Amino acid sequence: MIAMEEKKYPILRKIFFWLFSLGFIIFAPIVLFYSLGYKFDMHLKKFQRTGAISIKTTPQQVEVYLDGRKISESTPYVIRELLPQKYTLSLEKEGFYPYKIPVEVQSSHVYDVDIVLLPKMENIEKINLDFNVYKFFVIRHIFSKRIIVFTDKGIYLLDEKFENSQKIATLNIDGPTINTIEGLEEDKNQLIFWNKNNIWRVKISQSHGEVYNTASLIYSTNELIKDVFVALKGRYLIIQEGMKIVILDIVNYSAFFPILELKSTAAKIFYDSESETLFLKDSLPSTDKSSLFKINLMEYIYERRTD
Amino acid sequence: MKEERIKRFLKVIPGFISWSMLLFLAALFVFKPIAVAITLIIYLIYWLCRLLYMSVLLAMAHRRISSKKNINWLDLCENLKSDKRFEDIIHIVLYTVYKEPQQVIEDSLSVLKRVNYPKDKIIVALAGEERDTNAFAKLEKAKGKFIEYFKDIIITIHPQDIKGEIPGKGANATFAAKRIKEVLEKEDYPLENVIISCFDADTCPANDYFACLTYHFLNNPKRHQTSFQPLPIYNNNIYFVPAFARVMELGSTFWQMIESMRYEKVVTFSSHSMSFKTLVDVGYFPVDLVSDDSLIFWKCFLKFKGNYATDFLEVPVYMDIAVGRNFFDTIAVQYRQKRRWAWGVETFVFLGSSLINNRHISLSVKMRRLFQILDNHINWATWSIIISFITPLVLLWSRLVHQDSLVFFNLSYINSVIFNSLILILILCIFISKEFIPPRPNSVSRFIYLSFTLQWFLIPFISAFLGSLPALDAQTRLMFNNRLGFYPTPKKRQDTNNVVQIKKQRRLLLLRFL
Repeated sequence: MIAMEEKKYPILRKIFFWLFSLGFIIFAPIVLFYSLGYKFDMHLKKFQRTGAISIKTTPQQVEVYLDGRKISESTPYVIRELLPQKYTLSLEKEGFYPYKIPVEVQSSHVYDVDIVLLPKMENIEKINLDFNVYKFFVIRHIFSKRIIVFTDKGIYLLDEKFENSQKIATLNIDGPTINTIEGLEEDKNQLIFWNKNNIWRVKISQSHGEVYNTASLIYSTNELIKDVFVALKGRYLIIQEGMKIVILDIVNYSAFFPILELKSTAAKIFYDSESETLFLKDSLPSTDKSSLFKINLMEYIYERRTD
Repeated sequence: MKEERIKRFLKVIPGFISWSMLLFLAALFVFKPIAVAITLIIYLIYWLCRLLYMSVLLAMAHRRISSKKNINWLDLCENLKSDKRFEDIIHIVLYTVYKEPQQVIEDSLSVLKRVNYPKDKIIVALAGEERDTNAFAKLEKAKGKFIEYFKDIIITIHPQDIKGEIPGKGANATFAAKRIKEVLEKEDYPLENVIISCFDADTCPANDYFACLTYHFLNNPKRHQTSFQPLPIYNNNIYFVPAFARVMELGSTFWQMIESMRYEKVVTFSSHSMSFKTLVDVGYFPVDLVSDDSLIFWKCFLKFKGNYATDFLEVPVYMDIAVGRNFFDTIAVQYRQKRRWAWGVETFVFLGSSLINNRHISLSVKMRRLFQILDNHINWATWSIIISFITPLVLLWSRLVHQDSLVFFNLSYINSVIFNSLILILILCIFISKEFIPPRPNSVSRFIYLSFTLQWFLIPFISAFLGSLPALDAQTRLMFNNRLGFYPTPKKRQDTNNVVQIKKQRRLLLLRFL
């Protein structure tokens, strides 16, 4: 009885051995040829090399059309066994603009399509405050973003989701002037903002009561203000004004220092507050060429101190 | 001199092939990346077929063992019509001991005394090592405790530094077997009626092991040309070892089950049994090589001109999972144990050099047997490195550099299909492994069953580091003629209840603190 049962196992093993060996012999070339893009054309009775299109979309579940023919109901999707030629790929989803893209498939290659579909603008979210908004700026705040909104009722601070709003200052500037504001910097609980000729500063009110700080004009000039940066631990402003660079004390704004005369009207400055370095593009003396300059203010301060 | 040169050449072959495979893939990827993709596609399909085939064999082996669970082997022995009488058969149970704690030896003897077989037919041999300073006292104490249960207990102490030997299980077992032969001859026992079971100190045979073994011995007309291999199940301490160690050792059990279905290819491994007469005729276990358990089979194979086989028994023996002092030590212990097992590649050198001038064995048998060893060891050293390390690296790199290549794109797809298919195999492993889990001690939480299920998903991560890498290490050492000494796997039994209690108290304290 035991011996009888034992006899069936070697037979079964041999059957399975040959079955899997045969499976490998048949399966391996088929998969390999398929992987290399070969396809047997039944009409032409010959192998043809094909290519593929890999489609990824944001959002997913997008309908895929190839030359007007529906290929798939959803994405991500791979269209395989495509003969090398030009196709038109269309991606459609309700609530989004249809997207068409010409695709040239090459043999043994994958054409990668990765598309973000644009939504049709419906039900646009509105701020839940009934104000006349003049101007707004989006600023980085630690790990998130905050929106500074200039309104007829003062300056407001909003979170990205429009869920929380907080009044941070009142405004004593008329609407048309506010509309001319070109830039804004936040540093150490204060806002610095400017237009072509004026710079204002306002301290952000922390209280939620009725007493708010008001913006004060700290600098005014007839020259054109091109750029403003907060510098030196938030104490000074670096201003590119006309053909010069001026440094202004934010607190004691009667103190200002014209530190550099610029050579060209096309001069451009950038101040990196982390390294306290001023980068400057300006013309070289007595040439038409421009170059890049660097002034590390802190290094200057320390060098002078040791001198 | 010529023989030495042949041996040296044979030593280089396994490591050379394994390294060549890995380096070839790396070099090919630099110069012909598409060729690597093609090679990997064929390799992955080959392994998918092979793994599916092995899963079928595993399922068949499981069926074979479970269908014979309720057989009364003793009854079969007593009623068997054979040229030998059941009553005449004597069993020698040889335990090789080296630094194993007293508890391990006594636990094994306690299990042995409970087996369903006449104990007056069992002679126990406890083979200690002179290197283990308190070996004699330890074995004497065990003898005093258990002598009344068996026909006899023989103690031998293997002297250290015998010329021509390497310290290890083979040398110890050979020394003990020679002493046993003297005892048996003195008592006038015919050697052809004696079966020797060479066990590790932690080996605990199943209740019916000796009855099943005797049945197979009596029922086999070529009993002296056959070794008897039980299924080694590593589960004695399964509740108290890290998940990765459980997976590795149960993986070894599964491998033996798969091997058990390849009847003509089965080679002895770890604890096994054989005719004592044959052992004497072939000149005992090898004393100068590490892999004594498989080499004894090949010695017999050569002695009987290729007419030697292994009969796989349906009844298992239970052993310990190799474990260290802590988690990281267990990794090291597992690595060293697997490297010692992989050192079994030395059988290729032994067999190859012995077969070259052997005119009694046909060329096809020689080639098949050598290919079998080479195939096993080379695949062991390379497959998981290629599948779980090289393939993902190639895919990662191709995504950056060859992202528009169809063949790499499809390689990624085939790879994911194969990994998904492997889940089916893992489910089979989970199902079968449940059969090997002993009853849960009360002190262990039932949540451990969750770990017993999830542990199998560690395979892709650990198979390269604790599977292929030790094998590659062993082959590289052999290639450079760097001898590997016998590494005795540390055996220890934890005071399980206490350990679990302490852990529970610590967990409660932590919860209170949180």
